[in-house]
Amino acid sequence: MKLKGKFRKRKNLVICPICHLELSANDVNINGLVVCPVCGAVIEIIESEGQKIPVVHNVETKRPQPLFRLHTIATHFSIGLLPVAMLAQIWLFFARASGELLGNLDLLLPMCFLFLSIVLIGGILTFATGFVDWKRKYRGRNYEIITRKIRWSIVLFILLSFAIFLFWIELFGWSFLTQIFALGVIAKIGHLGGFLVFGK
Amino acid sequence: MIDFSLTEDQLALQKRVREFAQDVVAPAAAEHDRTGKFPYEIAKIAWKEGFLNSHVEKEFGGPERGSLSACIIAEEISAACSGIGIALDANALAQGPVIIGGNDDQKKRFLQPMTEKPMFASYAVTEPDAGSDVSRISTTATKIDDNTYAINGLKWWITGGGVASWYFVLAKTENGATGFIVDADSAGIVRGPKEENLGQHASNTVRVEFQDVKVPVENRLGEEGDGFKIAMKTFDYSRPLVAAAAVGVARACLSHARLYAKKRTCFNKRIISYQGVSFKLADMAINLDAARLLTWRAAWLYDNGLPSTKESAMAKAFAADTGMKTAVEAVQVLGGYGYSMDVPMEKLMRDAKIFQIYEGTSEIQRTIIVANLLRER
Repeated sequence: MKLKGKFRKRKNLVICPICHLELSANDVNINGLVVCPVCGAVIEIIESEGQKIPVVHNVETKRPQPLFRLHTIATHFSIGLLPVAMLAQIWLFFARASGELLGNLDLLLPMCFLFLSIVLIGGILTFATGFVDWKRKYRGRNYEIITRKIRWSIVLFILLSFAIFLFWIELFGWSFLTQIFALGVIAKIGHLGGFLVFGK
Repeated sequence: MIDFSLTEDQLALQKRVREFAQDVVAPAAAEHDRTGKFPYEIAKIAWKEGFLNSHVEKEFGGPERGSLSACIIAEEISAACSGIGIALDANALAQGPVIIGGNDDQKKRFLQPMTEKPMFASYAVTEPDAGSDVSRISTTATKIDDNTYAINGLKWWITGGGVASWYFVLAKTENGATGFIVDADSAGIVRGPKEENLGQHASNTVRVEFQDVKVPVENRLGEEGDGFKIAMKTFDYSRPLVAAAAVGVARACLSHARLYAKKRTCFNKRIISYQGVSFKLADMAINLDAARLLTWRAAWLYDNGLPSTKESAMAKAFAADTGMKTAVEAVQVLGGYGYSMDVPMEKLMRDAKIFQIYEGTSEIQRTIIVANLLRER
């Protein structure tokens, strides 16, 4: 039977009985084991009557933790700065529309550009530190959640670069629209990242 | 000569249903159990694949498969999720009285549409104070003119009642219990909210109230007073189906427990190597095989037009008890993980219990068996 959409997605799900994170059966390594990225439970997934039954063999309690929490800092700094840059643009838009000068607008424009650039640099740093954490804490294992995070990060990188380019050529409206999409992607990546911290 | 093997057609059907059950039903089981959502999408696929309306005659668009084939379908789907299985099987129970006691016009009006598009029907007999004792029903059907009855009463724990297009209703007339087919859109029908039960959450169980519901005389099954006979005769067909569903649950329990015991280590040994665990698995396997054989025999008797009331009751009682017993033992084999809601084991135990209750409790089945024993010379 050819499976489509959610039926195919559901088929690969298994829940870690220790921390309740939804794992993908695609994360199984060559030994037939999957190590839960959140709690470190070493789980063998057995298939019985179409159901996935987790058998816990061990728990990896001592796992190296991220260095200097750089990934977290870079992530949250970028997440915080993008809305600031966007709010500044909204303010700029209304100030221009009303013709009232509420400050030095000449300074505000490059400041927005600078903020967006910092967000992009922060994003690159987030990606790099995330990669190091993946190698250290998760021992470079293939996790569907991490793969999805990487894919969305690439989308974010493209969107942010495009937004900065549009800003540079002074297509502010289009740049702002792209930033809105970028904000949505950041929320998605943050949501996935939350699974790796708190489980599900 | 005795032959326990399935025909090529039955084996092919079993393979197709197993694939459907494991690819579509099993992965959705936890979600439907958690939300209690009726499995419309799954029912549509099952209908498209031809797994519903098994025993509707070819003349009215059905596959006319026979009881044994229907049992094969029920076992496979229930091994994946008996809640979804029963949600789909409720049709068979409602259609039973129409097949047994209905005329061609009634079959054309009510059975044929179900083979043309996905539709549901419900068997509405149980009342708050009349479950096992069907003769106690207090729903009435009063003739208001030569062509019309007015039905009044409350039907309780009606499987699929909230989604049904029509109901088989057993009501009292001047001449005794009589069966009616009642269109679910008739004025005066009030469907209650979904009941919250221990297990089989995907099954839509509601109460249905009939307040002066007008039913044309053409919707009466047989003559006045034939209802009890028709309702009981339906059980000869439906009980092996329910037994097969319980066998499906027992099979899933054994499978989960066996595979788990082979992998899980305790005191540096696989737990299957301990007699305390392995003997449990052996007992499960014995009971499972016995339950399946009783079920298939009852279905075979029905398909061959032989008396099967006692055998249906035996199959239903034994399979239901086996389902429950196997589920309890399987949870024990999985230990704490069997008790966890993250592992698809505790659900089987919750789902299994109802098999000992609906379609006649295990005690009623024994009463039927004894009554038949007393009649034997």
